[in-house]
Amino acid sequence: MQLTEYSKHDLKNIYLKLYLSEDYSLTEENSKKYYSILSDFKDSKLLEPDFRQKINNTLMKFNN
Amino acid sequence: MNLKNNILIIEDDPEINKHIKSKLSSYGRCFCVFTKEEAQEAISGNLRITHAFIDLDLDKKLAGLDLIDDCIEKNIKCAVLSSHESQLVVDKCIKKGVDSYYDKFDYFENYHNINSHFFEVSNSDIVELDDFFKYKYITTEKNIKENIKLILSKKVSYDRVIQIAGETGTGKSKLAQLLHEESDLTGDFISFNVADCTPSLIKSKLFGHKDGSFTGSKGNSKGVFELADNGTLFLDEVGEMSLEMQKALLIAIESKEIWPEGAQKPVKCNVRIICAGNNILEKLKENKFRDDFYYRINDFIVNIKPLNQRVEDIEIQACEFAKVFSKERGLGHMTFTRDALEALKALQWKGNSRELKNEIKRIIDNAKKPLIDISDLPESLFKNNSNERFKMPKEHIEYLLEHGYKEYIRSIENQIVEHLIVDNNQSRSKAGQDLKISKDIMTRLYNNYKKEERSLCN
Repeated sequence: MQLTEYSKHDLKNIYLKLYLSEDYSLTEENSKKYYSILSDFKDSKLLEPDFRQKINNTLMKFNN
Repeated sequence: MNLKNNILIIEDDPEINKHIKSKLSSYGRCFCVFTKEEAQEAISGNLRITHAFIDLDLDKKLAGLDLIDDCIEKNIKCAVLSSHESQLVVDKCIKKGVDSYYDKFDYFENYHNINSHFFEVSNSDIVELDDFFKYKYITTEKNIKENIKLILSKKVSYDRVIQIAGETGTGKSKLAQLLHEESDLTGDFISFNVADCTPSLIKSKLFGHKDGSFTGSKGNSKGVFELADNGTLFLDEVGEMSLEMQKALLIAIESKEIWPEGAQKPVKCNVRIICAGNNILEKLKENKFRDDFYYRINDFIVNIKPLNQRVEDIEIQACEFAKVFSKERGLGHMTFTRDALEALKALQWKGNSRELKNEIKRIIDNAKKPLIDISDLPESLFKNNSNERFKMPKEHIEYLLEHGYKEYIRSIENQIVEHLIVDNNQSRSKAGQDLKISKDIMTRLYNNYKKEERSLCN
């Protein structure tokens, strides 16, 4: 998946939605979708290191 | 929920919008919109929006930037939420006058503190000093004292820090002094400019030191805090203080005790703090200003407008300065003609009252007669001080000074009539509309033009 400037913006929103999902429940479909997208980018060098770290932390929390 | 606040949430992603609303719902009534057009409709409509949280990346094309202008125009306090990290974009937002800029991640991680700060500042007591300087500035007449009492009657206890906000030269120090004089405090008024002090010596200057506490220290010395005990300490340029000193100052204010350098025990000090500083919000964003100190000094704000936004004060102050300086020089009472005062009022005065005072001093020193006319005003005053929106060409200034104000104005009026009505064949009614003046005034200008034209032909 290519990362363009606009995709980065969407990615940040997707991260936020998963991060905030404790506040109100996401549908199972959306949870899986966001989790899958973030997993694809969690090691991408095109993202800033601290954003990658945030993604990894959130994915780990979601796994648990 | 604070029913006074109507909060507009502008975010195109519906789920994120919902999340933001959940964080803000206790601060006021929230209205959610998802596009720039919806936002503009809400801002200009009947909702009486007081605050706005704007997603900068609206519609994926920074559409939020335009909305900042719409909010500022309607006096809506706005915060920007963005995933954008470019410094250029951040600077653009700040230049547009946005109140706060938050990274979206930071916002959701720290929304409690951020919201408290954003809404607490907007709920501070803010006093606009429109009327204060309508009265005599450098005298201490009864009506100034009445205005001070008006400020103090807003129940500003001595525990509260008063921040005086205003450009340089607007009289912040003078106001701080007058606030002290009108209070019941028995101690002294002490003024301390942080920017004037070497950073390594600030702690010692503020809190004092004991003999031998650092290299070069001789004898015990009281700091300004102790000198202002039971009185007022005015801290100017408080934005220049280091983070460490801000912390020390905050502790001193809250505990009412100070630790002089080298002291074994604290000294009790009960001081009212009045402070002033520039660019504090920018420093906060750059992490050069502590959040907790920022909240402390934003509790009660007295706002002094720039002098060029209080044109009546220019006249009052110019006459008062002329009176004082002419008396000091034993020249008898000197003042200005109406034309000269109108010319002074049209200038920008970027240095505010301080600049005005210095220029009036110079004018009095060079004046040849007690009634100073526009032709007696130095040319350099217009060159350096003109309102940039109405920058006069050099030949206009030369004509003005050669022929006088009335002749200059008459010439301008005739040229306006010639351009609009004669050359462009407009009606007097339309020309008046374009110039935003009544038809009667436009008719008078036209008749004057025609009268002059006839006299030239004869």
